[in-house]
Amino acid sequence: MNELDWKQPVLVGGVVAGLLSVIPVVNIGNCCFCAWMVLGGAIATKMVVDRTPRPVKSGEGAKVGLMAGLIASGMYLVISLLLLVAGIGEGLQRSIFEGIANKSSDPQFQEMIQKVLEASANQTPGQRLIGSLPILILLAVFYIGFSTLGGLLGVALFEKRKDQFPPSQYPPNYPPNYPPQSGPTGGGQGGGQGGWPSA
Amino acid sequence: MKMAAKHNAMIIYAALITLSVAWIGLIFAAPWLMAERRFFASTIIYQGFSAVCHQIVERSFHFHGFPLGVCSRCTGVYAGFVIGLALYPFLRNLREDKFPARWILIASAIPVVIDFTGGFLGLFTNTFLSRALTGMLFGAVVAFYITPGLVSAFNDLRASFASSKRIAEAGGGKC
Repeated sequence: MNELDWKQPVLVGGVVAGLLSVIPVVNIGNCCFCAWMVLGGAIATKMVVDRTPRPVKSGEGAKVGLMAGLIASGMYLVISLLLLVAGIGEGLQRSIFEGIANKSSDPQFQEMIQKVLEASANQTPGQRLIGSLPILILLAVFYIGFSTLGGLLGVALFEKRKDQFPPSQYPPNYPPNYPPQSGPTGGGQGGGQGGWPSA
Repeated sequence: MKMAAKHNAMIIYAALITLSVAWIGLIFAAPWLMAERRFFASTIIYQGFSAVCHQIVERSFHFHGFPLGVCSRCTGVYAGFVIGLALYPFLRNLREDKFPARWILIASAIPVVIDFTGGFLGLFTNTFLSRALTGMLFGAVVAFYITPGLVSAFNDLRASFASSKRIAEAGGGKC
C-alpha cells in the first residue's frame, strides 16, 4: 500500500462523505444503506485506481474505504456534537423519537418517550452531549463499516486491469536471513540478487 | 501457504456470517423487545438503525405487532446477504480473492434501482414483495464481492505482519 497515492483520494472521499452526512436534508441519503458513506469509499477508491499504474487489489480498496470512512465519521461526530451543544437539530432528534413512539400503541411507552423529550428540552448542552455520545459513536462505527464496503465495491466496479498484480513482497519459502549482509571485504553488490525490487 | 490462505478465508467467512446473522437478529430484536416491553433496549436499536434506514412504518414488515428495525427493502438486502453467504462456499472457493465479473454486480442493482426510482417518481406503486425481492437479489450478489474482497484484505494484512516479523528476526541476528 506504500506505493499507492492514497492520501488525497482518502481525504477527498472522506470530506465528500462527511459533508453530505451532516448537511440537513441532504443527509437523508444515508437512510439508504449509508449511501453517502458508500459513495465516499467508492470515490476514494476510484481516485486511487486512476492514479496507480498497476491494478489496485481489493484489500487495498477496503483500506482506502476504511480510511475515508474514518475521516467522514470524524467530521460527522465533531459537527454533530457541535450542533447538539448549540441546540441545532433538536427538531430532528424530536422527530426521531416521535417516530419511535409511533411504532407502538402502548400508552406507557408513548408516555415514556414524551418524558424523554421533555427532559431533553431542559438539558444543558453538556448533558445533551453526554447523552448523545454513545449513539453518535455507534453511528460513526456503522459509517466506517459502510465506507469500507464502498471501497471494496469501488475496486470491483472501477478496477478493470487484470493479471498485472505486483509480486508478493517475498516469494514463497523465502529464507529468513536473506539478503545476506555485506562482508568485511565490502561485497557491496551483495549476493547477486540484492534486495527485492520495489514496485 | 495454501493452509494459511485457507485458514484466513475461514476466519473471514466465519466473521462475516456471525456479523450478518447478528445484524439480522438485531433487526428482529427491536420489535420483539418492544413487544416484551423492554422499551429502552428497543429504542436504542431502533435509533441505531435510523442511521441506515428511513424506518417508515408503512413500508416495514412487522414482527410481534411492531415494525422491524429497518424497512422491507433493507430487510431484503440484509437477508439476501446472509443467503448469499450461505451459498458462497458451494459456488466459489473460499480462498478465492478475486471479484466475479463486474457486470453481475451492476445487473443485480438494476431491479432495485428501477423499483426504487419508479416508486419514488410515482411511475408505479412498488409493493412489499417487489422491494424485498429486489433487495434480496442485490444483497445476495453483494456477498460474492464483499467476501473475496475481505479475504484479500486479510491475506495482505497477515502477509505484511509475517514479513515484518521475518525482517525483524533477520535484523535481530546482526551483531
